[in-house]
Amino acid sequence: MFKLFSLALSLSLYLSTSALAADKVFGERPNLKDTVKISQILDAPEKYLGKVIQVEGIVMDVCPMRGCWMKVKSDRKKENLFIKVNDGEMVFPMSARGKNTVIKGKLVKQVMPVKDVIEVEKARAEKKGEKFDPKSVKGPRTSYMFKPIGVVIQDK
Amino acid sequence: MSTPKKRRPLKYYNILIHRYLGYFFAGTTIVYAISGFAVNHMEDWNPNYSIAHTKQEIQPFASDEEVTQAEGEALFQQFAIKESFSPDNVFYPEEGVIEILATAQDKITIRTEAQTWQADLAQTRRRPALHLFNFLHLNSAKKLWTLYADIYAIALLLLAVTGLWMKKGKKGLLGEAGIWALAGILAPLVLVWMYYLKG
Repeated sequence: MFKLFSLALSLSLYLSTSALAADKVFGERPNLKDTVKISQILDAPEKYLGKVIQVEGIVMDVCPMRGCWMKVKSDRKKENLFIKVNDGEMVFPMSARGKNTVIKGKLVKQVMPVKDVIEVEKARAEKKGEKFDPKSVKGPRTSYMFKPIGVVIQDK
Repeated sequence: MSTPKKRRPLKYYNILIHRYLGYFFAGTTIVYAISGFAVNHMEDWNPNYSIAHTKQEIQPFASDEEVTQAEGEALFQQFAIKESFSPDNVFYPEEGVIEILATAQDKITIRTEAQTWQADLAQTRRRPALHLFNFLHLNSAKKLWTLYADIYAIALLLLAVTGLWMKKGKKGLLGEAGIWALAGILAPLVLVWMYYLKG
């Protein structure tokens, strides 16, 4: 009986210390070295497509519904990298906002068809109360997002 | 002289399994049911967080591309935020928008296009109990919770099977119980036909 109690106590202690650990890790733990600057990636995205790389930055925002995406601040102003996982694969907590993160993963290219770009821009204009001319959309929209393999959210 | 042990009928063990699994997993079932209801309506509401907005007009900063320490502190004071302002937590996501994180839960979004700037403080708070229920139900914890949830899934299967064999004869699977079970299979099948096979 005493042995069983000791085992249960040890397990509880292990679980509580794990929960209190400062950094939050999702998936494979990144090595925290050899990170590529987000600005560098956004300047020449094609160069990094499909390659496993690491990025670092402050988490600007987290998906408030499912925790399935994050926006990471670039080292250059007015830029960010969109981090997206399939629902449930990793669930990023709201507490990640404002914290530094290192992410290991692959850059993915997405091309939005003209029809969808028009819809998005129309909705945006309506939200702002502005007029929208579909002819202002010149073609499909290319964007890049980052599919993580591993994420560490560091406690400041 | 000892009397030989009487062998108990299978029905005895069937009821025993059904009863004690039911007792043991009653709490988990309630958690999963409430969370299931909450996440089913995800399109209409956020089942994890409540977000309260406070909007205020603010004096434009000297630049819409750089928030100074003094401007940040004055803004926090206007919104009665006690945290200290950090320029590291200022973002410029698109033209005409500045975002400032006061805490992980409190974000101020400033629209700078008009003459008077509009600031919106969004305070995101976990929904009591529901956030935890969804965390468990959607297996966000992974690790040992995956094992527990697997055991629960097996228990549900056993509950269903033992439930079907609770009664014998007219009230059993070949009678009343069978009709109810069949109805329970047919009802979702109609929806499968409507949304899956036809769609």
